[in-house]
Amino acid sequence: MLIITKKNAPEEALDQVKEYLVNNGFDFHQSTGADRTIIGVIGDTHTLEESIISAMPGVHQVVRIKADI
Amino acid sequence: MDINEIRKRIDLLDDVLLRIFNERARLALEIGHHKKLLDLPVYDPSREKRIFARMKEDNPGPLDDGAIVRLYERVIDESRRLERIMTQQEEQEEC
Repeated sequence: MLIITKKNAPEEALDQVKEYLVNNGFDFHQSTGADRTIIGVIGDTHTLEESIISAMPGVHQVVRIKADI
Repeated sequence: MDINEIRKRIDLLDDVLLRIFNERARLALEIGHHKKLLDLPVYDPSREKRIFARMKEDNPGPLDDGAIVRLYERVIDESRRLERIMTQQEEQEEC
């Protein structure tokens, strides 16, 4: 799963997303760009609620990686 | 220096970096152990921000601050992951 932030999302919003991931037992890789940050969630994310993350402040888009068929 | 000499120097630096990364990871594991004893969370955003700020402040270049942050993001992400795995293993051993 990839979490893409809104442009210039505040640090506090990012912290909230990352804290949610960590509290749910997930690791993440953060990649900070010029005005957006991409958070790659590591692990089997089928238990993660996309809608909860999408609704968090500072989140622009949540992209779930399709399972291989 | 010709290209081969430069590459040899890069290889030597990579060897040093590998040792340093692993030494840093060992220290992160020690921190993780202390956090567990003190019941502190693995994820400490304020500490991470302080590391980024200090590295940017001390950065002589030619890597720009953005590059330094991205490199340290990887280092910190992996340290955090290592701490979490260790914590989980210790919890399993306690059961």
